[in-house]
Amino acid sequence: MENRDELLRIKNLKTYFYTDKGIVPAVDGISLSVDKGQIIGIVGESGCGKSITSLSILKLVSEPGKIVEGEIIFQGENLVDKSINEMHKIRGNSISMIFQEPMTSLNPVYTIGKQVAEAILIHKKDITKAEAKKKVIEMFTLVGIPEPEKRFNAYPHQLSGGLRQRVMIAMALICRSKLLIADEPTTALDVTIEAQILDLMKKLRDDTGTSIIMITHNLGVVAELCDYAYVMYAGKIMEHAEIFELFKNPMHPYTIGLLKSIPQRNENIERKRLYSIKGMVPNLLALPKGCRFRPRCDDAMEICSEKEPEIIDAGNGHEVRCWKYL
Amino acid sequence: MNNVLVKAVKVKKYFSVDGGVINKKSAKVHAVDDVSFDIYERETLALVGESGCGKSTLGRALIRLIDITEGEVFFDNQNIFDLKENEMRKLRRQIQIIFQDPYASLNPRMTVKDIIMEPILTHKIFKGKDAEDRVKELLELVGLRPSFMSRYPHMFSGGQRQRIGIARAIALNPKFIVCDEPVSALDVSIQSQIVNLLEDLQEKNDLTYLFISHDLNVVNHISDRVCVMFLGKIMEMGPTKDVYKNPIHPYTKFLIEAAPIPDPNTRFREKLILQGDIPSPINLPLGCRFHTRCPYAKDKCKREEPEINGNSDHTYACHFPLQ
Amino acid sequence: MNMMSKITSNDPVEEQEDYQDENRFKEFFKSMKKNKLAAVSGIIIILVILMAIFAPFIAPYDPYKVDLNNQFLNPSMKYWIGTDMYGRDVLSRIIYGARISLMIGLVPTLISMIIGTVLGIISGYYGGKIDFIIMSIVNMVLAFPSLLLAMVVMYTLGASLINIFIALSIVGWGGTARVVRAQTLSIKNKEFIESARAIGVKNSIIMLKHIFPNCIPQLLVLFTLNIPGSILSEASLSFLGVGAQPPASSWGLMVANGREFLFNAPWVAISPGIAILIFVLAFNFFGDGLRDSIDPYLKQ
Repeated sequence: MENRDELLRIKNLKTYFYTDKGIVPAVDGISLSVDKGQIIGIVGESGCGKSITSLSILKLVSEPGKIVEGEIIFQGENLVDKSINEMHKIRGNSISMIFQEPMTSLNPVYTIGKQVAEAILIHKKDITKAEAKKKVIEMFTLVGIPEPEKRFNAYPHQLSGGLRQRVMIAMALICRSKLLIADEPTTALDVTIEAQILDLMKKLRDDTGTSIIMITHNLGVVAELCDYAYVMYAGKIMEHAEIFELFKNPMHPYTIGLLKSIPQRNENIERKRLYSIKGMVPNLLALPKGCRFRPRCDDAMEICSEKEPEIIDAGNGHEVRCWKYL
Repeated sequence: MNNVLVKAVKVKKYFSVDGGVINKKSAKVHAVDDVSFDIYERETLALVGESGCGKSTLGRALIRLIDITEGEVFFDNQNIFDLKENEMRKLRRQIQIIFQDPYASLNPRMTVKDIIMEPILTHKIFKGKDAEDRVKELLELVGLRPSFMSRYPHMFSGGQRQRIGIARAIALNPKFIVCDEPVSALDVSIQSQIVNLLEDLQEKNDLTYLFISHDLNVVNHISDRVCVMFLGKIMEMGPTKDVYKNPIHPYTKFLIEAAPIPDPNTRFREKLILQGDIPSPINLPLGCRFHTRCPYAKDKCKREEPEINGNSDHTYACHFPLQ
Repeated sequence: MNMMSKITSNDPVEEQEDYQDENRFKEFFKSMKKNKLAAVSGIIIILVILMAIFAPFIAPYDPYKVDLNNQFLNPSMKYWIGTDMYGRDVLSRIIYGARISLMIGLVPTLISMIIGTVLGIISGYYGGKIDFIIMSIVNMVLAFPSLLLAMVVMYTLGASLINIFIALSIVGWGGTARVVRAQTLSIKNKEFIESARAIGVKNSIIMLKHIFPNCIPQLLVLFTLNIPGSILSEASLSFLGVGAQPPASSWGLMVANGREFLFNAPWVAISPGIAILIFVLAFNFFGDGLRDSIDPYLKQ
């Protein structure tokens, strides 16, 4: 049944990299959905495929990577089938993206005003430069950039990391994107600035109804911001659930391990030893047989080394890829 | 009460920044501005703060990796900046450093064996086979297979490289190690492994740590005392549990509140979010350095820099402390 | 848990998969094979070197034997590239000439790169006044027209092979110094250098064991690309009469001497010219290929 509120649905996405050393299944069968006005989180550590997933949505994966299977349905249309020109119309327009390093996303030789104005001038051919400038200043105010008229003429290097990230968000939203993909947007920021940016993203969703895909390795960020979260490991989704359910009732050993690894703020026990997940992420070129998390799992059973688990419905909108819950 | 191992007295480090081609006036970056504290034997003192607070600069100054503009640093009651070159070299056996970036901290063209052997050979502790045996021992101590000796750094993951860096740091059995954001660049599941390793080594070898970090959760776990810095000055310092439970300086409170908590039930709490940007260490505000960001700032804060107050245990620099 | 026991028994050791120890040379050959031009150039270079080493066995005739009855013979089955103004077999002269040209290519390049590397590293590492002085000298040397400078040296010292080596070495070290200095600057603030200083390693050892090895890939490439420069410089010097002197004969000198006879016996001047061309091109393509295959390795 079609969900009227659904904005994006990814079905069994596979993005593989054809390298000299073999085929790297960076994204190996991802399915997820984003509703209108929803903030979802994709959580995982380095190499799990979360960034490639987001690049795949916008078809920004370059050689030797390729989307080999799956559908990306955005507003009823499959993006995988679209041509480059059609994608150009979508990028920065109905779907925008912001990255971890705002310094490299901004061109150092142009003013930030010009760059943000360009974002709207490309897509809306009928507005004048003056109108665009007005919109840019409006947007700067919305994202909390102080003295927006003055800052219009500032260069990226004159701004701090936090301000640059706000500029990126302004650029991403100026065309009133329906979907914002944020790839580790606060990882490189100081913690007090991170708090501001997260607060801003929440506010923007509340005010404009933009959906956000938040990609991060920080479970705290996910807990603060997201309505729903997907946990990724080695190219696959291990678990996903609505946010309160996920934290109250984590099911996959990886999720549980991650949560246990984080030092708690309110540690009452003196110097309790930190829990750590043994081992390390697998080499995607040489994945273990069966479940790819098995070598690191404390609860591994025999079947885990033989067959890769399917996604199992645990009720409450909570699904997990683990033989424990069969 | 343990002895004082490292003592910083009114340490200042200023960098000159050129004003530009036409305007030749050079500006000074007050990276570290009049910092004094003691580090006791076998404790872990954490240095926390955001970018530009001077914690990395201070860490390097404490082991004389950089020169200081003013002030003194004592190690075991010896002023390390008074020492001559070869005396300092000898002292370096006792003070070491672990770096943040596991990719830049190992020479890509040296094997793991050479990397860990370097301190051993430089100080002529062992030679030949004895040195090799020591390398194997160190690798095992940090949880790596001795057969990895012949490999190059690029063949290892971030966590493994950090272990190699740690092996190198403990090779000479130092007493004091500056840990400069040692887990910040690592994945969460690896961070806890490395934190555990550092704690085990501390216990086993009676080590003293200066733990520099911006991650307040890790700091809460690993440190005995914490020192909060902002723009080159100490805002608050005291036992970690006390500072976290009852922060006195507003900045400390904001720092603690700002870190996202992995529990969605807390998202509706009254969150104090600090507004404004981190000021530039070149154009310093007059009066209290924090006043431009502080929501509680009053007139006095804009004019006068606060003195260090508090008892010997828990100090702070604020005209209107939270308690 | 007994905390005093070895760490490994408490802390779960990371499970380490056996990393396929990549053979650096294998990787290098693989990437060179992909670049056909570089591979062919590499083969040509090896052939030229072999030709130089085994000249006495390959050359059909004695390159110095003068036979005025056989002047300017056209290329034929007997003399594949004909004979020159003294009746000497041109082919044999080219084969023997490879020795001289190779030496001229290699020796001054090697010497100038050694000088340039040492000064570049010192300049970059110490900075400040030392850097300023050394770089000023470099700028002066580079600003001077190199050929002119070489000629001045040759006039002063007299024309001989050794003096050519000296002249070309003096002229050539500036470029290397700049490149090495740049590389030094980019490395010297990296944490593994800080680590060496924290360990107490002396500056000289840091420069030798840490900075220098990290310059090697670039130096290799620079080496292959500078060799043709030396050969061409020598050719120019010989052309101007201040290069190698007979009977020792470099390709450059052969071109110079054959110039007069370009219309009646063009093969005398053109064939050594072509030899220079092939040799220089081969080094250039090989050097490019080398740089391309080293870059991804560096990026790791």
